[in-house]
Amino acid sequence: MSYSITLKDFLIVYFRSFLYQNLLNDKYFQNFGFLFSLYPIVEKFNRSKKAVKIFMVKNFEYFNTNPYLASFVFGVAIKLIEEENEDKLKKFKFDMMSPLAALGDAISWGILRSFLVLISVIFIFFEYYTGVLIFFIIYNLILNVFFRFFGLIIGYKNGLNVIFKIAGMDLQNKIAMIKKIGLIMWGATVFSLLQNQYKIIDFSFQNISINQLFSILILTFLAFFLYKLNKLVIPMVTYLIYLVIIILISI
Amino acid sequence: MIIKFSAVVALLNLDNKNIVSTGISRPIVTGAVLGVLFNNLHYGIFIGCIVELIMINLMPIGAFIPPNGTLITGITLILSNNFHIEKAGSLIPVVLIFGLFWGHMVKRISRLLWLRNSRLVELFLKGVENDKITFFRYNISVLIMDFFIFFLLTFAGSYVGIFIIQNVVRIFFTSYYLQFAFDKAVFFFPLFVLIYLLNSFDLPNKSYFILLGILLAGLVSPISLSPLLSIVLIGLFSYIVIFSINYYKEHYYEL
Repeated sequence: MSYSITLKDFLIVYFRSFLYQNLLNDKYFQNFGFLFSLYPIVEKFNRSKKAVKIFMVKNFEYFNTNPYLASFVFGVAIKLIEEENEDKLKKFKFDMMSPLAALGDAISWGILRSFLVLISVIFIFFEYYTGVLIFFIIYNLILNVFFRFFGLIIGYKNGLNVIFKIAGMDLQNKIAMIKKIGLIMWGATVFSLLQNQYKIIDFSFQNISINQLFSILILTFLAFFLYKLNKLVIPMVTYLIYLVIIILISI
Repeated sequence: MIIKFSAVVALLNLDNKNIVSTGISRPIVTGAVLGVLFNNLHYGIFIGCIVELIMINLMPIGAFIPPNGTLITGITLILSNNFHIEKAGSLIPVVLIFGLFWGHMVKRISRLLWLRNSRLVELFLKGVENDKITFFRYNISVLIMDFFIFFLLTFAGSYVGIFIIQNVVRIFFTSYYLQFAFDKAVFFFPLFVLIYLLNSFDLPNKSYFILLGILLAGLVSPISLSPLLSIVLIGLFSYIVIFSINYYKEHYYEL
Protein backbone atom coordinates (compact mmCIF):
# COMPACT_ATOMS: atom_id res chain seq x y z
CA MET A 1 0.00 0.00 0.00
CA SER A 2 1.51 3.33 -1.08
CA TYR A 3 1.00 6.60 0.74
CA SER A 4 1.01 10.07 -0.74
CA ILE A 5 0.89 13.60 0.65
CA THR A 6 -2.49 15.34 0.38
CA LEU A 7 -3.67 18.87 1.07
CA LYS A 8 -5.05 17.59 4.38
CA ASP A 9 -1.51 16.64 5.47
CA PHE A 10 -0.25 20.12 4.62
CA LEU A 11 -3.09 21.67 6.59
CA ILE A 12 -2.37 19.45 9.60
CA VAL A 13 1.33 20.44 9.57
CA TYR A 14 0.34 24.10 9.03
CA PHE A 15 -2.01 24.19 12.01
CA ARG A 16 0.38 22.24 14.21
CA SER A 17 3.13 24.73 13.32
CA PHE A 18 1.10 27.36 15.20
CA LEU A 19 2.48 25.80 18.39
CA TYR A 20 5.99 25.77 16.95
CA GLN A 21 7.55 27.98 19.64
CA ASN A 22 5.46 26.84 22.59
CA LEU A 23 8.28 24.92 24.30
CA LEU A 24 11.12 27.22 23.21
CA ASN A 25 14.07 26.34 25.43
CA ASP A 26 17.77 26.90 26.01
CA LYS A 27 18.99 23.49 24.98
CA TYR A 28 17.09 22.45 21.85
CA PHE A 29 15.41 25.79 21.02
CA GLN A 30 12.57 25.08 18.57
CA ASN A 31 13.20 21.38 18.04
CA PHE A 32 10.18 20.27 20.07
CA GLY A 33 7.94 22.40 17.83
CA PHE A 34 9.67 21.06 14.72
CA LEU A 35 9.02 17.43 15.68
CA PHE A 36 5.51 18.25 16.90
CA SER A 37 4.61 19.80 13.52
CA LEU A 38 6.02 16.89 11.51
CA TYR A 39 4.80 14.08 13.75
CA PRO A 40 1.66 13.15 11.72
CA ILE A 41 3.78 12.84 8.55
CA VAL A 42 6.40 10.74 10.34
CA GLU A 43 3.65 8.51 11.72
CA LYS A 44 2.10 8.16 8.26
CA PHE A 45 5.27 7.01 6.52
CA ASN A 46 7.07 5.17 9.33
CA ARG A 47 4.40 2.65 10.03
CA SER A 48 6.06 0.73 12.84
CA LYS A 49 6.21 2.27 16.31
CA LYS A 50 9.90 1.45 16.54
CA ALA A 51 10.68 3.36 13.31
CA VAL A 52 8.85 6.44 14.62
CA LYS A 53 10.80 6.23 17.87
CA ILE A 54 14.12 5.96 16.02
CA PHE A 55 13.21 8.98 13.86
CA MET A 56 12.28 11.02 16.94
CA VAL A 57 15.42 10.20 18.90
CA LYS A 58 17.66 10.70 15.86
CA ASN A 59 16.20 14.13 15.14
CA PHE A 60 16.15 15.34 18.72
CA GLU A 61 18.82 18.01 18.41
CA TYR A 62 19.41 21.75 18.36
CA PHE A 63 17.20 23.53 15.82
CA ASN A 64 16.60 27.26 15.75
CA THR A 65 15.43 29.40 12.86
CA ASN A 66 12.84 32.05 12.05
CA PRO A 67 9.37 30.73 13.00
CA TYR A 68 7.76 31.92 9.76
CA LEU A 69 10.41 30.73 7.32
CA ALA A 70 10.74 27.40 9.14
CA SER A 71 7.88 26.27 6.90
CA PHE A 72 10.33 25.91 4.01
CA VAL A 73 12.25 23.37 6.10
CA PHE A 74 8.98 21.61 7.01
CA GLY A 75 8.11 21.32 3.30
CA VAL A 76 11.50 19.84 2.42
CA ALA A 77 11.33 17.53 5.45
CA ILE A 78 7.93 16.20 4.27
CA LYS A 79 9.43 15.55 0.84
CA LEU A 80 12.44 13.73 2.32
CA ILE A 81 10.25 11.63 4.63
CA GLU A 82 8.03 10.76 1.68
CA GLU A 83 11.06 9.69 -0.38
CA GLU A 84 12.35 7.70 2.62
CA ASN A 85 15.49 9.83 2.38
CA GLU A 86 15.56 10.80 6.04
CA ASP A 87 19.34 10.65 6.36
CA LYS A 88 19.63 13.86 4.35
CA LEU A 89 17.17 15.67 6.63
CA LYS A 90 19.65 16.07 9.48
CA LYS A 91 22.28 17.74 7.27
CA PHE A 92 19.69 19.86 5.46
CA LYS A 93 18.31 21.16 8.75
CA PHE A 94 21.77 22.20 9.92
CA ASP A 95 22.64 23.81 6.59
CA MET A 96 19.40 25.74 6.27
CA MET A 97 18.59 26.98 9.75
CA SER A 98 21.16 29.79 9.95
CA PRO A 99 20.57 31.35 6.48
CA LEU A 100 16.79 31.09 6.95
CA ALA A 101 17.06 32.63 10.42
CA ALA A 102 19.14 35.54 9.12
CA LEU A 103 16.85 36.17 6.16
CA GLY A 104 13.62 35.54 8.07
CA ASP A 105 14.54 37.76 11.01
CA ALA A 106 15.55 40.55 8.62
CA ILE A 107 12.23 40.23 6.78
CA SER A 108 9.75 39.57 9.56
CA TRP A 109 11.11 41.41 12.60
CA GLY A 110 13.44 43.81 10.86
CA ILE A 111 11.77 45.36 7.87
CA LEU A 112 8.21 44.12 7.38
CA ARG A 113 7.05 44.84 10.92
CA SER A 114 8.75 48.24 10.95
CA PHE A 115 7.29 49.23 7.58
CA LEU A 116 3.79 48.11 8.56
CA VAL A 117 4.10 49.93 11.88
CA LEU A 118 5.17 53.07 10.01
CA ILE A 119 2.12 52.85 7.72
CA SER A 120 -0.31 52.16 10.56
CA VAL A 121 1.26 54.89 12.70
CA ILE A 122 0.81 57.38 9.84
CA PHE A 123 -2.88 56.44 9.70
CA ILE A 124 -3.27 56.58 13.48
CA PHE A 125 -1.45 59.91 13.95
CA PHE A 126 -3.89 61.43 11.47
CA GLU A 127 -6.77 59.81 13.42
CA TYR A 128 -7.68 56.99 11.04
CA TYR A 129 -7.86 53.97 13.36
CA THR A 130 -8.09 51.55 10.43
CA GLY A 131 -4.26 51.69 10.63
CA VAL A 132 -4.39 48.94 13.27
CA LEU A 133 -6.44 46.70 10.98
CA ILE A 134 -4.08 47.39 8.07
CA PHE A 135 -1.13 46.30 10.25
CA PHE A 136 -2.91 43.17 11.47
CA ILE A 137 -4.24 42.01 8.08
CA ILE A 138 -1.10 42.61 5.98
CA TYR A 139 1.17 41.19 8.71
CA ASN A 140 -0.81 37.95 8.73
CA LEU A 141 -1.27 37.75 4.97
CA ILE A 142 2.46 37.95 4.36
CA LEU A 143 3.85 36.03 7.32
CA ASN A 144 1.18 33.56 8.35
CA VAL A 145 -0.41 32.88 4.97
CA PHE A 146 2.34 33.41 2.41
CA PHE A 147 5.50 32.34 4.25
CA ARG A 148 3.92 29.84 6.63
CA PHE A 149 1.50 28.05 4.31
CA PHE A 150 2.92 28.58 0.84
CA GLY A 151 6.45 28.13 2.24
CA LEU A 152 5.39 24.62 3.18
CA ILE A 153 4.19 23.89 -0.35
CA ILE A 154 7.19 25.60 -2.03
CA GLY A 155 9.53 23.58 0.20
CA TYR A 156 7.72 20.34 -0.67
CA LYS A 157 7.65 21.03 -4.42
CA ASN A 158 11.30 22.05 -4.70
CA GLY A 159 12.80 19.60 -2.24
CA LEU A 160 16.49 20.15 -1.58
CA ASN A 161 16.58 22.82 -4.32
CA VAL A 162 14.40 25.14 -2.23
CA ILE A 163 17.42 27.33 -1.51
CA PHE A 164 17.59 28.30 -5.21
CA LYS A 165 13.88 29.08 -5.16
CA ILE A 166 14.34 31.36 -2.11
CA ALA A 167 17.38 33.00 -3.74
CA GLY A 168 15.25 33.55 -6.87
CA MET A 169 12.72 35.52 -4.82
CA ASP A 170 15.35 38.31 -4.63
CA LEU A 171 14.37 39.15 -1.06
CA GLN A 172 17.53 41.16 -0.27
CA ASN A 173 16.80 43.68 -3.02
CA LYS A 174 13.17 43.91 -1.93
CA ILE A 175 14.30 44.63 1.65
CA ALA A 176 16.57 47.44 0.42
CA MET A 177 13.70 48.88 -1.64
CA ILE A 178 11.29 48.83 1.32
CA LYS A 179 13.95 50.54 3.45
CA LYS A 180 14.29 53.38 0.91
CA ILE A 181 10.52 53.85 0.62
CA GLY A 182 10.24 53.70 4.43
CA LEU A 183 12.81 56.45 4.87
CA ILE A 184 11.13 58.69 2.29
CA MET A 185 7.74 58.17 3.95
CA TRP A 186 9.31 58.78 7.37
CA GLY A 187 10.58 62.17 6.21
CA ALA A 188 7.20 63.04 4.72
CA THR A 189 5.42 61.94 7.93
CA VAL A 190 7.61 64.08 10.18
CA PHE A 191 7.06 67.10 7.91
CA SER A 192 3.29 66.53 7.83
CA LEU A 193 3.12 66.05 11.61
CA LEU A 194 5.03 69.27 12.20
CA GLN A 195 2.81 71.09 9.74
CA ASN A 196 -0.62 69.69 10.52
CA GLN A 197 -0.68 68.26 14.04
CA TYR A 198 1.81 70.57 15.74
CA LYS A 199 1.11 73.58 13.50
CA ILE A 200 4.82 74.40 13.63
CA ILE A 201 5.65 74.63 9.96
CA ASP A 202 3.54 77.23 8.25
CA PHE A 203 4.10 77.17 4.53
CA SER A 204 3.66 80.92 4.27
CA PHE A 205 6.20 81.41 7.10
CA GLN A 206 4.08 84.23 8.53
CA ASN A 207 2.86 82.73 11.78
CA ILE A 208 6.05 81.11 12.95
CA SER A 209 7.54 82.58 16.08
CA ILE A 210 11.25 82.70 16.95
CA ASN A 211 10.63 80.79 20.20
CA GLN A 212 8.87 77.94 18.44
CA LEU A 213 11.53 77.75 15.75
CA PHE A 214 14.31 77.77 18.34
CA SER A 215 12.69 75.00 20.46
CA ILE A 216 12.15 72.86 17.39
CA LEU A 217 15.75 73.32 16.25
CA ILE A 218 17.03 72.28 19.68
CA LEU A 219 14.59 69.36 19.82
CA THR A 220 15.63 68.13 16.37
CA PHE A 221 19.31 68.42 17.20
CA LEU A 222 18.85 66.58 20.50
CA ALA A 223 16.65 63.96 18.90
CA PHE A 224 19.37 63.04 16.40
CA PHE A 225 22.00 63.10 19.14
CA LEU A 226 19.87 60.74 21.25
CA TYR A 227 19.19 58.58 18.23
CA LYS A 228 22.95 58.05 17.91
CA LEU A 229 23.18 57.48 21.68
CA ASN A 230 20.34 54.98 21.46
CA LYS A 231 22.70 52.31 20.21
CA LEU A 232 24.83 52.63 23.34
CA VAL A 233 22.27 52.77 26.14
CA ILE A 234 19.17 50.69 26.78
CA PRO A 235 15.96 52.19 25.38
CA MET A 236 14.47 52.86 28.80
CA VAL A 237 17.37 55.14 29.75
CA THR A 238 17.08 56.93 26.40
CA TYR A 239 13.39 57.30 27.06
CA LEU A 240 14.08 58.89 30.45
CA ILE A 241 16.61 61.27 28.87
CA TYR A 242 13.99 62.25 26.26
CA LEU A 243 11.54 63.01 29.01
CA VAL A 244 13.94 65.10 31.05
CA ILE A 245 14.84 67.15 27.95
CA ILE A 246 11.21 67.72 27.05
CA ILE A 247 10.45 68.77 30.63
CA LEU A 248 13.39 71.18 30.67
CA ILE A 249 12.39 72.72 27.36
CA SER A 250 8.73 72.96 28.32
CA ILE A 251 9.44 74.74 31.60
CA MET B 1 -11.77 44.82 37.16
CA ILE B 2 -7.99 44.37 37.33
CA ILE B 3 -8.43 40.57 37.44
CA LYS B 4 -10.55 40.65 34.29
CA PHE B 5 -8.11 42.79 32.32
CA SER B 6 -5.06 40.88 33.60
CA ALA B 7 -6.68 37.72 32.22
CA VAL B 8 -7.20 39.40 28.84
CA VAL B 9 -3.55 40.57 28.77
CA ALA B 10 -2.31 37.06 29.71
CA LEU B 11 -4.49 35.59 26.96
CA LEU B 12 -3.19 38.06 24.36
CA ASN B 13 0.37 37.40 25.54
CA LEU B 14 0.07 33.73 24.54
CA ASP B 15 0.23 34.93 20.95
CA ASN B 16 3.68 36.37 21.65
CA LYS B 17 5.47 33.05 21.53
CA ASN B 18 3.22 30.17 22.51
CA ILE B 19 0.58 30.19 19.78
CA VAL B 20 0.51 31.36 16.16
CA SER B 21 2.28 34.78 16.38
CA THR B 22 -0.48 36.61 14.52
CA GLY B 23 0.65 39.99 15.75
CA ILE B 24 -2.31 40.37 18.10
CA SER B 25 0.23 40.51 20.94
CA ARG B 26 2.04 43.46 19.32
CA PRO B 27 1.49 46.59 21.44
CA ILE B 28 -0.29 48.43 18.63
CA VAL B 29 -2.98 45.73 18.34
CA THR B 30 -3.08 44.94 22.08
CA GLY B 31 -3.62 48.65 22.71
CA ALA B 32 -6.57 48.69 20.32
CA VAL B 33 -8.13 45.51 21.81
CA LEU B 34 -7.77 46.79 25.38
CA GLY B 35 -8.94 50.23 24.27
CA VAL B 36 -12.19 48.67 23.01
CA LEU B 37 -12.60 46.80 26.32
CA PHE B 38 -11.91 49.96 28.33
CA ASN B 39 -14.34 51.84 26.13
CA ASN B 40 -11.61 54.29 25.10
CA LEU B 41 -10.29 53.20 21.71
CA HIS B 42 -8.45 56.47 21.03
CA TYR B 43 -6.35 56.28 24.20
CA GLY B 44 -5.68 52.53 23.82
CA ILE B 45 -4.37 52.98 20.28
CA PHE B 46 -2.30 56.03 21.31
CA ILE B 47 -0.52 54.08 24.08
CA GLY B 48 -0.18 51.02 21.83
CA CYS B 49 1.47 53.16 19.15
CA ILE B 50 3.93 54.74 21.58
CA VAL B 51 4.96 51.38 23.11
CA GLU B 52 5.22 49.78 19.67
CA LEU B 53 7.55 52.50 18.44
CA ILE B 54 9.70 52.41 21.60
CA MET B 55 10.08 48.64 21.22
CA ILE B 56 10.34 48.46 17.45
CA ASN B 57 14.04 47.58 17.37
CA LEU B 58 13.93 44.95 20.09
CA MET B 59 13.58 41.71 18.17
CA PRO B 60 13.53 38.10 19.41
CA ILE B 61 16.63 37.10 17.44
CA GLY B 62 18.51 33.98 18.54
CA ALA B 63 18.45 33.64 22.32
CA PHE B 64 17.63 37.32 22.95
CA ILE B 65 14.37 37.90 24.80
CA PRO B 66 12.97 41.41 24.28
CA PRO B 67 10.92 43.16 27.00
CA ASN B 68 7.34 42.03 26.92
CA GLY B 69 5.41 44.62 24.86
CA THR B 70 2.01 43.08 25.55
CA LEU B 71 2.50 43.41 29.31
CA ILE B 72 3.88 46.95 28.98
CA THR B 73 0.81 48.04 27.02
CA GLY B 74 -1.54 46.09 29.29
CA ILE B 75 -0.18 47.45 32.56
CA THR B 76 0.02 50.99 31.19
CA LEU B 77 -3.64 50.83 30.15
CA ILE B 78 -4.83 49.12 33.35
CA LEU B 79 -3.10 51.79 35.46
CA SER B 80 -4.38 54.57 33.21
CA ASN B 81 -7.88 53.24 33.59
CA ASN B 82 -7.48 53.02 37.36
CA PHE B 83 -6.28 56.62 37.70
CA HIS B 84 -8.53 57.99 34.87
CA ILE B 85 -5.38 59.29 33.25
CA GLU B 86 -6.97 60.03 29.87
CA LYS B 87 -8.46 63.08 31.58
CA ALA B 88 -5.10 64.12 33.12
CA GLY B 89 -2.45 63.71 30.42
CA SER B 90 0.40 64.72 32.70
CA LEU B 91 0.46 61.28 34.31
CA ILE B 92 0.85 59.34 31.05
CA PRO B 93 4.70 59.42 31.07
CA VAL B 94 4.78 58.19 34.69
CA VAL B 95 2.51 55.25 33.93
CA LEU B 96 4.45 54.46 30.73
CA ILE B 97 7.77 54.45 32.57
CA PHE B 98 6.36 52.03 35.13
CA GLY B 99 5.01 49.82 32.30
CA LEU B 100 8.44 49.79 30.64
CA PHE B 101 10.12 48.95 33.94
CA TRP B 102 7.72 46.03 34.50
CA GLY B 103 8.25 44.81 30.93
CA HIS B 104 12.00 44.64 31.59
CA MET B 105 11.36 42.71 34.83
CA VAL B 106 9.20 40.20 32.97
CA LYS B 107 11.99 39.77 30.42
CA ARG B 108 14.19 38.33 33.22
CA ILE B 109 11.41 35.97 34.28
CA SER B 110 10.97 34.75 30.68
CA ARG B 111 14.53 33.41 30.85
CA LEU B 112 13.42 31.17 33.74
CA LEU B 113 10.55 29.90 31.60
CA TRP B 114 13.09 28.81 28.99
CA LEU B 115 14.89 26.81 31.68
CA ARG B 116 11.59 25.22 32.71
CA ASN B 117 10.95 24.30 29.07
CA SER B 118 14.41 22.66 28.86
CA ARG B 119 13.46 20.43 31.77
CA LEU B 120 10.10 19.59 30.20
CA VAL B 121 11.67 18.74 26.84
CA GLU B 122 14.17 16.44 28.55
CA LEU B 123 11.26 14.72 30.29
CA PHE B 124 9.55 14.38 26.92
CA LEU B 125 12.71 12.83 25.43
CA LYS B 126 12.80 10.28 28.25
CA GLY B 127 9.16 9.52 27.47
CA VAL B 128 10.01 8.97 23.79
CA GLU B 129 12.74 6.54 24.76
CA ASN B 130 10.12 4.66 26.82
CA ASP B 131 7.64 4.63 23.88
CA LYS B 132 5.47 7.44 25.27
CA ILE B 133 5.08 10.25 22.73
CA THR B 134 2.88 12.82 24.47
CA PHE B 135 3.19 16.10 22.56
CA PHE B 136 -0.22 17.48 23.47
CA ARG B 137 0.19 16.90 27.19
CA TYR B 138 3.32 19.06 27.25
CA ASN B 139 1.92 21.68 24.90
CA ILE B 140 -1.29 22.15 26.84
CA SER B 141 0.40 22.16 30.25
CA VAL B 142 2.85 24.85 29.05
CA LEU B 143 -0.02 26.94 27.65
CA ILE B 144 -1.91 26.75 30.95
CA MET B 145 1.19 27.44 33.04
CA ASP B 146 2.22 30.41 30.88
CA PHE B 147 -1.28 31.84 31.00
CA PHE B 148 -1.30 31.77 34.81
CA ILE B 149 2.27 33.06 35.14
CA PHE B 150 1.57 36.06 32.90
CA PHE B 151 -1.79 36.62 34.54
CA LEU B 152 -0.07 36.81 37.94
CA LEU B 153 2.69 39.05 36.55
CA THR B 154 0.15 41.49 35.09
CA PHE B 155 -1.96 41.39 38.22
CA ALA B 156 1.06 41.94 40.50
CA GLY B 157 2.40 44.67 38.19
CA SER B 158 -0.92 46.51 38.31
CA TYR B 159 -1.05 46.50 42.11
CA VAL B 160 2.62 47.47 42.53
CA GLY B 161 2.04 50.20 39.93
CA ILE B 162 -0.99 51.58 41.76
CA PHE B 163 1.02 51.75 44.99
CA ILE B 164 4.06 53.40 43.36
CA ILE B 165 2.12 55.89 41.25
CA GLN B 166 -0.05 56.96 44.18
CA ASN B 167 3.13 57.87 46.06
CA VAL B 168 4.75 59.51 43.03
CA VAL B 169 1.67 61.70 42.61
CA ARG B 170 1.63 62.55 46.31
CA ILE B 171 5.33 63.47 46.42
CA PHE B 172 6.14 64.99 43.02
CA PHE B 173 2.93 66.11 41.37
CA THR B 174 2.11 68.93 43.71
CA SER B 175 3.99 71.39 41.51
CA TYR B 176 1.94 73.08 38.79
CA TYR B 177 5.02 73.52 36.60
CA LEU B 178 5.84 69.83 36.68
CA GLN B 179 2.30 68.94 35.63
CA PHE B 180 2.48 71.51 32.85
CA ALA B 181 5.83 70.07 31.68
CA PHE B 182 4.49 66.52 31.61
CA ASP B 183 1.46 67.69 29.65
CA LYS B 184 3.81 69.18 27.06
CA ALA B 185 5.85 65.97 27.01
CA VAL B 186 2.77 63.97 25.99
CA PHE B 187 2.14 66.42 23.16
CA PHE B 188 5.57 65.69 21.66
CA PHE B 189 5.53 61.90 22.22
CA PRO B 190 4.53 60.84 18.70
CA LEU B 191 7.26 62.96 17.13
CA PHE B 192 9.98 61.64 19.44
CA VAL B 193 9.13 57.95 19.32
CA LEU B 194 9.17 58.05 15.51
CA ILE B 195 12.97 58.34 15.79
CA TYR B 196 13.14 54.74 17.00
CA LEU B 197 11.89 53.65 13.57
CA LEU B 198 15.02 55.02 11.91
CA ASN B 199 17.11 52.14 13.26
CA SER B 200 14.97 49.70 11.28
CA PHE B 201 15.55 51.44 7.97
CA ASP B 202 19.30 51.31 8.24
CA LEU B 203 20.98 52.35 5.00
CA PRO B 204 24.43 53.92 4.49
CA ASN B 205 23.03 57.15 3.01
CA LYS B 206 19.74 57.38 4.82
CA SER B 207 19.74 61.15 5.43
CA TYR B 208 19.33 61.74 1.65
CA PHE B 209 16.16 59.66 1.58
CA ILE B 210 14.76 61.43 4.66
CA LEU B 211 15.50 64.82 3.10
CA LEU B 212 13.88 63.65 -0.15
CA GLY B 213 10.76 62.72 1.84
CA ILE B 214 10.67 66.10 3.58
CA LEU B 215 11.20 67.86 0.24
CA LEU B 216 8.42 65.89 -1.47
CA ALA B 217 6.02 66.54 1.43
CA GLY B 218 6.90 70.25 1.28
CA LEU B 219 6.27 70.38 -2.45
CA VAL B 220 2.98 68.51 -2.23
CA SER B 221 1.60 70.30 0.86
CA PRO B 222 0.17 73.47 -0.84
CA ILE B 223 -1.94 71.37 -3.23
CA SER B 224 -2.70 68.30 -1.09
CA LEU B 225 -6.25 67.46 -0.03
CA SER B 226 -5.19 65.71 3.17
CA PRO B 227 -1.78 65.02 4.78
CA LEU B 228 -2.48 61.27 4.94
CA LEU B 229 -3.29 61.11 1.23
CA SER B 230 -0.13 63.01 0.33
CA ILE B 231 2.07 60.66 2.41
CA VAL B 232 0.49 57.57 0.82
CA LEU B 233 0.93 59.11 -2.65
CA ILE B 234 4.57 59.96 -1.86
CA GLY B 235 5.07 56.32 -0.82
CA LEU B 236 3.51 55.06 -4.06
CA PHE B 237 5.47 57.54 -6.13
CA SER B 238 8.77 56.57 -4.49
CA TYR B 239 7.92 52.89 -5.01
CA ILE B 240 7.37 53.45 -8.73
CA VAL B 241 10.58 55.50 -9.10
CA ILE B 242 12.78 53.06 -7.12
CA PHE B 243 11.24 50.07 -8.89
CA SER B 244 11.87 51.70 -12.30
CA ILE B 245 15.50 52.50 -11.40
CA ASN B 246 16.07 48.92 -10.24
CA TYR B 247 14.41 47.57 -13.39
CA TYR B 248 16.54 49.84 -15.58
CA LYS B 249 19.73 48.79 -13.76
CA GLU B 250 18.84 45.13 -14.08
CA HIS B 251 17.88 45.14 -17.77
CA TYR B 252 19.61 48.01 -19.56
CA TYR B 253 22.50 49.19 -17.41
CA GLU B 254 24.99 46.70 -18.84
CA LEU B 255 24.04 47.65 -22.40
